[in-house]
Amino acid sequence: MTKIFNKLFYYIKNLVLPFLMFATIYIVVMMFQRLGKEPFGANFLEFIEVILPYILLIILLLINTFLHQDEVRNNIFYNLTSFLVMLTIFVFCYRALFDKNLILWHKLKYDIDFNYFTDQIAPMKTLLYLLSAANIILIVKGYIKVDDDIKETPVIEPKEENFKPLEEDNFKVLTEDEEEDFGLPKEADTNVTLDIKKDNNTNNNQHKNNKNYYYNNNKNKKNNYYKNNKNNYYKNNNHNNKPKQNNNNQNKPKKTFDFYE
Amino acid sequence: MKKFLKEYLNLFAYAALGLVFVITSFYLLINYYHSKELEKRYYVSDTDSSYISYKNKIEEIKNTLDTYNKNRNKNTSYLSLYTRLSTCKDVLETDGGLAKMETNKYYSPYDVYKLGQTFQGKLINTCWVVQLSYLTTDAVPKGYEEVVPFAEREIEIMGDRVSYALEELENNGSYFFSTGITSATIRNYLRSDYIAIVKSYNDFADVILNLSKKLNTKEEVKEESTVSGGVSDDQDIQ
Repeated sequence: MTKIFNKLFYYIKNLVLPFLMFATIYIVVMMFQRLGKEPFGANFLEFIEVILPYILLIILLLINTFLHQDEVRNNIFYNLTSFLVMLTIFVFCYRALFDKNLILWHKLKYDIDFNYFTDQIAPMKTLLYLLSAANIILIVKGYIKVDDDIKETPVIEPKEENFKPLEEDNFKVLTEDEEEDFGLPKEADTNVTLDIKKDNNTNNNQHKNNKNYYYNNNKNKKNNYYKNNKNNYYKNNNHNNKPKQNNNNQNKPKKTFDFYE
Repeated sequence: MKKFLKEYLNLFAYAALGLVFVITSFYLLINYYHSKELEKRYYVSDTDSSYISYKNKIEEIKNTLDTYNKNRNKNTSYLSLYTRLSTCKDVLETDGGLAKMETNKYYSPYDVYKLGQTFQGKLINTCWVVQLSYLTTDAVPKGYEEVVPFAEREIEIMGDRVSYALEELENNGSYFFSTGITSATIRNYLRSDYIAIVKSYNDFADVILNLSKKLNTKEEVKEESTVSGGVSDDQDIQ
């Protein structure tokens, strides 16, 4: 429902704004004519003061549409308020042009009540400038990307009932020194490959020299020691709180690296 | 830092939008109330006392002028005044004035405005300024020297009253945020302006009536007085 209203307000606002601009231009030009001023001559600055907020808003609306800025386009509050602004400006122009209960509509002999319209120019400008300012702020906000914008999965505390010890084949408990050595770089070389030779005289500490072996075998899986455990945890402990069947063949964790080969 | 900045930008944007929302709702509501206020009409019936009294005064003026016309002498200085007062009597019954106003009808602000405009344009300009302003000069006929200053002052007051009412009507495009209760208890500007204009019509008719009544007094001057300014005697009859 909000999407429908959003699109409705967005399109109505974009279609009505040029017509309102032309209506204000007409009224202001007739007003200048009555006063003997030249809107495109000596009094051009006075004329442009009234028209500038419209031009600014139209440029911003074009930017929103052609650059697909969803931060503004899909903002229901922005579209609703801009629709209300168009409605108020429509009321001002309509009453200045067609309300015959205003005495000056008859007296000034242009069928326009200029006095009423000049009283409304200042609030009109403030509304349009505030809309433009909000538009610019939302555009800037849309271009700022923060890592925390990624949705985090809910963290569930493990229950002792569901906690199962991990299989010993696929992990080894590292000491503190080994943990420091096991730190993986953030940026990995994807094209690196190593020829690993199997030594019969294996030592428990030989994996220190084969850090990249572990890394290159695991790079596409985006795993490290701890993440591997986490995956095993979620596989064995279904966080949707549904009972899970024990299919060892399916839930068997993938073999990532072997320490003792 | 980026998150901090993003949240502040959000705050400023929604503060501006909230302000816009408040301002637009204010202007929409006030324009609605104002348009409803301007749609009010004033009802004038057949039994309107001011309308009836005005018509009665015109009849009385007619009768006094007719009695003078029957009993007048040819060599009287009041003849020019009589002709001028008869033209004023016709002006009191002019189109657009109170005498020819339709009754049992609702009148808009513009209708009341036109009523005031005819008072200024016809009654004051055509009748007083053109026809009777010579009375304020040295050419005033005898017997009218004490009456004319009072008439002049009253017409000044009437003119100010009507011009004030017309300015108030012209300014009906401006508005303030009033509820129905306050507008009903404080003032209904259309009613007050209508009453001011109609009272001026009646007061003007009173002035003409008093001037015409004095024609039939016994104080008649033998010498003819010269008329300075305005229309000459030969043109009055036409």
